Order: sequence, then C-alpha cells, then structure tokens
Amino acid sequence: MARPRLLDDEERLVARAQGGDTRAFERLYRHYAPAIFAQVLVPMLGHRADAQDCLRDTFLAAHGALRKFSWTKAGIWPWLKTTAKNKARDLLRASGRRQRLRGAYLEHLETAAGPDADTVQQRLFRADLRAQIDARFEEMNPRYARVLRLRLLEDRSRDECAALLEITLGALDVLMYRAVRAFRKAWEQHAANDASPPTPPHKAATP
Amino acid sequence: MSEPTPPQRGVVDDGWERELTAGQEAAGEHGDLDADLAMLHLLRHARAPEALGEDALEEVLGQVRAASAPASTPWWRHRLVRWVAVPACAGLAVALIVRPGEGDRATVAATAADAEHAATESAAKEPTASPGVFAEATPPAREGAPAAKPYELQFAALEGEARASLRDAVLNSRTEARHEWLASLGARTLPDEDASTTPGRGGGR
Repeated sequence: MARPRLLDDEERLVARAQGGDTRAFERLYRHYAPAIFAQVLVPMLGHRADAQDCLRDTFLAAHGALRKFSWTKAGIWPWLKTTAKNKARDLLRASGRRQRLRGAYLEHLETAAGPDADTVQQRLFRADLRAQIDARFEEMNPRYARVLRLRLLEDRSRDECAALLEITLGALDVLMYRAVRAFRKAWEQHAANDASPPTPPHKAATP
Repeated sequence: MSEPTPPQRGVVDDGWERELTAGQEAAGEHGDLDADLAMLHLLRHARAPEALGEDALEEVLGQVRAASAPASTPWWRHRLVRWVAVPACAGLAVALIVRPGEGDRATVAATAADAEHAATESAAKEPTASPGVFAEATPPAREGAPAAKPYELQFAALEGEARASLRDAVLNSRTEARHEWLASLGARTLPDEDASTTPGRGGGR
C-alpha cells in the first residue's frame, strides 16, 4: 500500500469541492482519510483515539482552506498529508509532547525510508521496509527473531506461540520483551551507521 | 513472510503494552518502555497498518459535517428559522402566557371602574348626610400595591352604598319618630292639624 491512487476525476472533484459541493468533498474524504489515518497520523501519534481526533481536525482545516489549494499533477494527497502532519504537531504541542509520543514510530519509519521525507509515506508498505526488518532479524538471536515473526508478523496467538516455542506463557512474555528490545537496538544501530540522518520535518504553508 | 491477514489486534492496541510490561516485570527489570513499544508498533505496522474502519470513517465524517454545517446551510433554512419559526414560537408564548394575564387585568380594571362609578353615584346621592363621619371610616388606599387598588376601590364603593342605606334607614326612622312625636303633641293641642299627612298613619287615628 503506497500512497492512495489518484482519483480519475480528482481535479474536477477538487474544483467542485472548492465551489462548495459537499458531495465532492466527502468523496475526497472517503478516498484519502483511511490513508491519512494509517500512514501519517497513527505512526506520528502512536495512539488511535488521538489519530482519529487529528483526522477530524485535518479535514476540518482542509474544508476551510480548500479554496487556497492550487491544483498540481500530484493531486490533493500531498497537501492533505502536510495538513495532517501540521495538525498532529499542533496536537503534540498542545497536549504534552513526551506523553503523546509514547509508542509513536514515524521516526523509525523515516529511518527505514531514508532522508527524503516526501517519499516516506510511499515507501511505508513497500518491500524494502520488510527487507530491512528481515535484515535486522538475521542479525539477532534466532529465537528472538522467531518469536517476533510468530507473534507480531504472523499474528499467532500467545498460546500458539508458546506451544511452537515449547515454553510457558510467562516465559513467552519474557522472550517477547527481550526480543523487542534486541530488535530496537539492532534497528537503532543500523540507523546510526547510516550516513544520512533523517531530515527534521518542517511546517508547510497549509492549514 | 506470509501475506497479511486482518490482524487480531491493531497496531497501537493497548494489549501490546500490557504484554511488554508483563515480560519486563517477569524478567525482573524496570524502566521506560516507550522506545520498545514504538518498535513493536513498527513491526505491527509493517505487517498491516492500523485500519480506520467504516464506522470510524463515517463517525469522523459526521463530526466534520457537524462542525462545517453553518457555512454550508442553505439560505432559505436560515430565513425559515428567522421569519417563521421564531415568530411562531413567540406568538405561541404570547397566546399561552401573556394574553390570559391581560384578560385578568382587564376584568379587574372593569370591576374597579364599575365600583368607582358606583361610589361616585352614591356620594352624589348623599351630599348632606354628614359625609365626614363615614369618610373617616374609609381606609386609605395603600401605596405600592397596585394590584390591590381595584379591590380597595370596589370595597369602598360597596361600603358607601351600605352606609347610604344605613343613613336612609336612620333618617327615615328619625323622621317617623319626629312625626309621631309631633302627631302625639298635635292630637292633644291641634286635633285636626296634619292628621292625613303623617306617613303610615292614615286618617283613622
């Protein structure tokens, strides 16, 4: 899942929405909101309810500022994405950044995708992300890599994981905890070895 | 890696944090788990991103609609509210509350006017019947009680009529007694004088 595809009649839809056509705006919303939520807001905020609130604020701001949008060949997606990021930053500033960043992982995604912030969202679901994850697994203790694959990537239940690894549920919890910590260290080590540090995001001229 | 299927638990589900915390406690360790939790979220996201869901999609759209509704409300709805609904509500309120109150006040005012008129007529009937004595007995109207004033006037008018009747009765009795007294005197000194003019007497005595 890369960036959402451009709608066939997107330019006309945007023009109609700019003229006050609520149906056109709602069609744009239904097409882009799931991707804004999953690819931008949840990774940035690490919290589902916050991401949902921010999605609402994003499209409210977009509704109010749509007349200022100038059409480009890339469509409305980059403009919506930047608006969403700005709203997420506003939310983080307003509510206490430390607390809100709990579990946020956009930084790790940017590390995986490289310094080009414009292509980050396009690469989130591409094979190179999984390839990087597999590469880190290869560097880890095989038992750690196996429990992460079983539990987090293959979505197996705790009972099933414990049975496959021939351990108790309590031991599975400890193994998971240590495996996640080991994976984090491997990921961060790889990022530190990377020559190009991630570019800090800047607020664009969007609502 | 296998193809992603709908996950049992979302990317940022609270259960992942509980699982990590349980493992940390079982390992006998302490400390901040935020960074580890973020990495776990990354792995879950790589498997399948957090889905918004149809219900949540529509819920957020409803919130956006509600918040942006004033700008997109058709003009005739505003006018309908302004020129029809508000006056109708106001008229209804007047019909239910204000008019009955006015009717009560009108009834009281009419009663008071009638009473005042009767009092005036009564006073005109008796210009010489020692008004000072009865006037002093009339209670003065209290100030600061406008609602009580019509009733006070009505009472004064009725009181005046009753006093006029009493005065009539007293005067009649007095006149009758005087005539009787004069008649008794005349019977002794002037037997033929004024025997037919005494009221209620006739000429038989």
